[in-house]
Amino acid sequence: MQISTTEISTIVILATLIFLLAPTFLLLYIFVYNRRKKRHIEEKAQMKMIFDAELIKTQMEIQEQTMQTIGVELHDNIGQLLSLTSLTLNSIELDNPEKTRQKLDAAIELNLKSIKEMRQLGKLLHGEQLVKLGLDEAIRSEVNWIEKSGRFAVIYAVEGERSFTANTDKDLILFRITQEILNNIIKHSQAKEINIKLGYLDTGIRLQIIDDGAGFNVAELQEEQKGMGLKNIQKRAEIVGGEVFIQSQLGEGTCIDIFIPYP
Amino acid sequence: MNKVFSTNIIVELLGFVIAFVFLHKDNDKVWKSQVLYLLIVVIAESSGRYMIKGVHYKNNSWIYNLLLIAETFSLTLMFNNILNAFYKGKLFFYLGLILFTIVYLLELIAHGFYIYNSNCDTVMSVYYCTCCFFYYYFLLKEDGFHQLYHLAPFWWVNGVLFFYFGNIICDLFFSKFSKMPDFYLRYNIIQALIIILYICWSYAFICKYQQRKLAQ
Repeated sequence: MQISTTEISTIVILATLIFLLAPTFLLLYIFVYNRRKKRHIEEKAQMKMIFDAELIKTQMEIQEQTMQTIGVELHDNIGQLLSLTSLTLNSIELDNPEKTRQKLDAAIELNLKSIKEMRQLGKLLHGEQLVKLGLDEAIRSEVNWIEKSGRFAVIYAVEGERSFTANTDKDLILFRITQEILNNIIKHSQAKEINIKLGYLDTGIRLQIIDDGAGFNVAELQEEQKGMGLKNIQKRAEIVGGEVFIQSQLGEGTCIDIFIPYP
Repeated sequence: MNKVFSTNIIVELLGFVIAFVFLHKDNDKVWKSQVLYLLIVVIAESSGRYMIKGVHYKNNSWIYNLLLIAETFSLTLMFNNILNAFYKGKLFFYLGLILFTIVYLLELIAHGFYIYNSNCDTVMSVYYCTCCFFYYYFLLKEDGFHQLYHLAPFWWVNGVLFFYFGNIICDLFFSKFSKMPDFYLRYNIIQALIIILYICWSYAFICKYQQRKLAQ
C-alpha cells in the first residue's frame, strides 16, 4: 500500500509536534519547581523571623522577671533589714554600755543579713548568664531562690547526661518555660511541694514539673480562653519543635511534661 | 534581493542586529562572541543561497560545512561558560570539540568536503541537547531559586534545546524522505524551529543587557 505525500507530511508534522512536547513539558516542570523552591525559601525566612522575634521576647521576659524579683526583694526584704538597722543604731544610748553593746551586736547581725541577701540578689542577676553555662545550672538557681522563701519544698533531680551539643536558643526557651510554670505554681497552686525532673534523652530533653497544689480543670481553662500562661508555654514549645502534656485535676495537683527535641 | 534573502536569513539578520545592539558593550567576552557568530551565520546563509539562486552553482554544501565549524566552536564555548556556574573547568568545551573533530574528520574522509556532513550535524545536535539537560539538572539541584523570566542563560539554552531537538527529529525522518520530489516539509519545519531559536536567543540577549544595567 503506497502512502501519499500528504499522509507522510501529516505523520511527520504530528510526530514533530509530539516530540516538541517533551522539551515544553520539561520547561514547564522547571518553572513550577523553581516557584516551589522560592516559596519554600520565603517560608523558611519567615519562620526564622518568627523564631528570632520569639527568642528576643523570651530574653526580655527573663530580664523583666529578674528585675521584678529584685525590686520586690529590695523593697520587702533588704529595705526592711536596713530600716531596722537604722532604727537600732538610732536607739543607742551611749551612757548605757551594756545595752549599747547589745544593740550594736543586733545592728551588725542585721547588716550581715542584708549583705547575704544582696549576694543572693547578685546571683539572681547572674541567673540569665547561667543559661549560657547550662540549663541545669539555671534551673538549679531558680530552685534555690524558691526554696529560700521557705514556702515550698523543692525536689530537683537530673537524669542522664547531655549527649548532644548545647543549643543556647532552645535552652533559653526551655528555661523561660520553667520560670513560667514555677510562677504559676507560686501564684495559683497553693502547693507545698514541687518536684522537678530534668531528663537528658538521646533525642532531646524532657522536663517534668509536678506540684501537690489545688489543680485545675485543663479543658475548662482552654475553653474559656483563660490561662495565657499555659498558651504561652505551649506556643514556645511548638516553636522549637517540642510538645507539652498537661495533666491536672481539681484537688489533685498538676503534672506538666515537656519534651524538646535536640539538637 | 530574493536571491540572497529568504525568511530564515531575515530572521537570522534580525537576530544579529538584536545581538549587536544588546551585547556589543557586554563585559562577558563569551556572550559578546555571539555577535560575531550570528554575523558569520548571516554571511554563510546568504552566500549559500546566492550561490544556488544567484549564480546557479551546483553545490553550496562546503559553505555549510565551514559554518558547522563556527557553530560548534561558538556553542561549545557558550555551554562551557553557562555550565561553569555549576561545574568548574573546561570539560564541556573540550568534550564537544573532540567529539566534533572525530566525526567531522571521519565524514570528510568518507565523502570529501563538498557533501554536507549531516552525521556530524546530528551527533552535535545530540551533544547540545545533552548539555541542555545537564544545565536543567544543575539548575534544579541548586538550593536557591532564580528569577527564570529574567535569566539570560536559561533562555539561551531553551532556544538551543527546541532547535536542536527538533533538528534531530527532522534528520531522523528526512533521511528517508529527502529524495521525494516537492517535499518542502523539512524546510518549513526548520524555518519554524529557527524562528523559535532566535526568539529565545533575542530574549536572552535582552535579559543579559538588563542584568548588566542592574549591576552598574
